[in-house]
Amino acid sequence: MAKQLYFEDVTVGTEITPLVKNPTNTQLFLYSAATRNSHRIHYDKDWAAHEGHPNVLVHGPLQGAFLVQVMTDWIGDKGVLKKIGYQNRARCFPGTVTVKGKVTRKYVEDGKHYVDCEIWDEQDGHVCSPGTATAILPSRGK
Amino acid sequence: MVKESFITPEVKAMIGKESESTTGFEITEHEIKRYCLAVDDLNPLYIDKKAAEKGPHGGIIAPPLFHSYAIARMIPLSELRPDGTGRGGGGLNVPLKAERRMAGGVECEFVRPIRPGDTLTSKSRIADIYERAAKDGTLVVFTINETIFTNQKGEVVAINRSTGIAR
Repeated sequence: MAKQLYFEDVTVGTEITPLVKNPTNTQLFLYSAATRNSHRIHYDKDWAAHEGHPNVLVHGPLQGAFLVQVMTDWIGDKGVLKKIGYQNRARCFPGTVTVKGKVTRKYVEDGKHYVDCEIWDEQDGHVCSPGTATAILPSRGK
Repeated sequence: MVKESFITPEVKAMIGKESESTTGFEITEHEIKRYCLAVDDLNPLYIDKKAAEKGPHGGIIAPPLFHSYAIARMIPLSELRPDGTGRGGGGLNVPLKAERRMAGGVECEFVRPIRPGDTLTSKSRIADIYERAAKDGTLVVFTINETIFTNQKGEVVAINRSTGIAR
């Protein structure tokens, strides 16, 4: 379990600990089932081919869930994720996905310590889903 | 090339239009765990009762983004399209004469924790529709759909804003 991150530990440009995910066909099936999503493009390779794709597609919101996890793993139990935004820009297929990010702003508002971050899902060296996130970090209270 | 605006009076009239409210199922530890296994996030705050009770929220909470799936769309097989998707949009379909559609992105604000025993209700509205000129001079329409999720106490737990792009 990683050490708790504090507001004083980060600066603009601080890199978020990368996260590696490996969405498999099985995971896509379980995610479709858990989210009650019957879209064939995520579990039926023949249908995906019919729509012009070389394989089934990783769901946009599943890529969003990966972005959530890169933040929540990094901010720790005492951090609070307040906002996330993302765009599913390029197709993402079963296989390794690396989630990365960095701090773009840190500020205090209403007594709370915020970080804004740029985050993204990457596959085969290109960005599939770019996004942003805002979290509140605990402060050592200096 | 001067293009006719997509924002007709009929389109403009959709701004502010609200859908009906929809209430979901009672959230359980089981359903939260099922989602966590599916996204492969085994954070103890979501699935380990003993650890969660010692944590900052005093008990199990759902992971961020779970709220979008706490209200189930229940569609008979006969009403699914050939691609497996369901029809309908809650009555908030904007009659745009733009043929090419893309999902522009989604933003979620996490307001309060969601816990086992909660039941969520959602209500959507068209927050805005506006037009911008692209670099080539053609017009692009942006539709912002906002969905507010409240719990059984009427407290806002999350807000989703999705952007649809049409040209």
